[in-house]
Amino acid sequence: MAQDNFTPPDEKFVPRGAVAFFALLMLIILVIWFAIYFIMLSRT
Amino acid sequence: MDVSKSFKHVLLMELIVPTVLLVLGVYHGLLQTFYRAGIIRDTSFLGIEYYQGLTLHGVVNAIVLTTFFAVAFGNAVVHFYLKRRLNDRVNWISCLMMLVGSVMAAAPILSGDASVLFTFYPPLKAHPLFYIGATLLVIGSWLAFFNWIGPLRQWRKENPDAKTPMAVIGMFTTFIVWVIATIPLAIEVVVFLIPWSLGWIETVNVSLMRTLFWFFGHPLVYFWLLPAYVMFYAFLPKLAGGKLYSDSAGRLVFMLFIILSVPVGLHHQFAEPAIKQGWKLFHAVLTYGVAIPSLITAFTIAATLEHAGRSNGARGLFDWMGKLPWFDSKRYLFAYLLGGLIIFIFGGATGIVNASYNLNMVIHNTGWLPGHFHLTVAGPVFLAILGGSILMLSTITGKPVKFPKLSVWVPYLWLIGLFMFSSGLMIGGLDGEPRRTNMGLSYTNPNSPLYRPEWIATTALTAIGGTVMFLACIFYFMVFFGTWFAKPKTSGALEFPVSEAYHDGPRVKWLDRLVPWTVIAVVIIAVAYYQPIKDSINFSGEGSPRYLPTSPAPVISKPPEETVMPE
Amino acid sequence: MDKFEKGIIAASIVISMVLFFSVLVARSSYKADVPECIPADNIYTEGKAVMLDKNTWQLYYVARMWLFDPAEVEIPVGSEVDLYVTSPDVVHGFNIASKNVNMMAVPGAITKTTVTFDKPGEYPITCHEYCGMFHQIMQGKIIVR
Repeated sequence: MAQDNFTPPDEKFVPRGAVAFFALLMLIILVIWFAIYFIMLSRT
Repeated sequence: MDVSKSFKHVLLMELIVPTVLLVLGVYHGLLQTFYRAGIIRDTSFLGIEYYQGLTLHGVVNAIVLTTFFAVAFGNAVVHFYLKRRLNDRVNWISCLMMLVGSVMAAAPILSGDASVLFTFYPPLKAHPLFYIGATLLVIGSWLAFFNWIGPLRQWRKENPDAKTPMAVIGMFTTFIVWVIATIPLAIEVVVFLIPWSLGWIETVNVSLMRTLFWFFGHPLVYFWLLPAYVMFYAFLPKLAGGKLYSDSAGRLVFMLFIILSVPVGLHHQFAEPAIKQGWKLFHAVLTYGVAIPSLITAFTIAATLEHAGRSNGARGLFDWMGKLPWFDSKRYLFAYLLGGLIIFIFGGATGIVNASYNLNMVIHNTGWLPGHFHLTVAGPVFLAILGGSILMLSTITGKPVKFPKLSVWVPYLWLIGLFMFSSGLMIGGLDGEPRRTNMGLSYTNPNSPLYRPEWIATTALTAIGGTVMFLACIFYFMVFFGTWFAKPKTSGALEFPVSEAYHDGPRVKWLDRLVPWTVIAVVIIAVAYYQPIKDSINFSGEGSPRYLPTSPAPVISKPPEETVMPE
Repeated sequence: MDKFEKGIIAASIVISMVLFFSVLVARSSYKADVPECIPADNIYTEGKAVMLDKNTWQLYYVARMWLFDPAEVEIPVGSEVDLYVTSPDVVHGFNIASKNVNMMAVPGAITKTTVTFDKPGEYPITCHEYCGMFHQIMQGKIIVR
């Protein structure tokens, strides 16, 4: 196994696409969550 | 890696038997959508009564299938990545206990004596064999886990500086959570429900039983989910043609699941009496905590896939998503895992809603709930089980996958059906549709005084979605059984993808030792559950006798017959 | 740990805090809460409607196989109502969907919540926990005039 030789990665990889995806994911979570939240408030 | 004949047979039994049962489980899932939509307006259909079928569906799909797969997959993972043989006799005893237990629990369900649903809340009572069978299934699964401990110890002695393989860490995490979680279940079932169902004790404290059940019931979903996470971290990078973005992130995720999977069960009990609000709020906060390893996973897997996409030439912010093997039939497992991940975006989001204390009042026990949990257990969990089962079946037997092009379509067809299915349930649930209800007899029956025409559109959408899901399953069964009945092309061996990491490093002790994290887990659990268990006893009164679903009159055991002592 | 991973963990914690803060605001300012925990010393066996004054009520429900008692209650619009529910047999649900009233009726315990009916109408009470063969017809009603 290549476990013991940790050659540094050849090209620098910056996960900007993953950061963008994660931001979208947070947005989806917040939209769904606050939709239910405001339904709850409207029923009090 | 070669497998002994005995091990091969154990693995095949553990994969094939639940898949056969799944045919029945999936069939009744479809039927439930028809009952709810008022397409079937009867108490039963073709000999299976609605609530009986609902019990069957939950038990087969969510208990039998998931437990067998976790055991089979764990057996295979430990054997393959540690390159060690497992004790054959323990494997067989474990497998046979699980089989006998499953049959024993299924029999009363099929005879109509256990229509209590898979949560079996007392004081509704099932036949004693239901509880005894479930106990055997669980103990059998423990044995499989204990069988792995010796080989891991041995491997570590021989490889003191090497990191434990990620997949092995993941499966050990899965079963550490399982063993902890099944302790309250064992107390509920063995100490209370079995004697109660046999008539040896007259009453049980229902509040306490429910608290014990959900002490088990939330970590149960991590027992289901973590094998899929093993595939995300250990298989997916290789399948995608890239590298796992961060090896240590994956390991931290598994350690966090050890400490946070269990002390959250009260979020299933927000609507109940006998537990103080403060403790419910505390469990809600802890549940936000257990969402964090899943959010870390979402990022880490996205970064992994981005790395793979860029290796394939992607340059933009999102075009790496297009440069992945979505429809490569030789790497079909990619489709199963990605289908699950896309579904899980919504499964996880809706789960965070459910955990949020007062938001739960909007959706508890409505159609929203099955809408949510089909996006989790019938999303990443189910698809990982389906894909992983074909993979193991095919490689162990040396039989190439039958209808490979059909196989790669199954997860996408399933996804389309599932989104329709869950949308109907969640929108309907927000409008007040109850779960666990044979609505065709009332709410969706135009001839009933309880008719709710506003629920027709949502239940119809769910039935259409359910039909598409059923079709995906038919295709899956064609692939699975077609493979099983095909002629072998090679002698067969266990083959799993082996992935590399982008950010890698040497062994980090605190991420590689499971016992300290387990100890922390036990401490957090004790703090989170001591008072709620006391409350559920102190704020409730008398216990409850047995009830059958068919009558409001309780079942009292017969007075003991007079015994005639022999001379 | 890679710096992006650390950032993601921080972002996740911040989001959780935002959500938790919103939950607390709803609880204190809007009185949106889960049922209270009250002692089970005197479990009542019959349903009844108690009027404390014209706009303050206590409704003691018994949820049992397979009906709610009282089946129908009429109260004036604008009333603040304490809802209690218990069960003499199995676990039932008690759901008034348009009012965040969502309780489990557990035998041996009493569940309590408080709701204000500020709009007139008919409010169905649905049982949403499987309670046996006639679960699907178990429904009550509160009429607000």
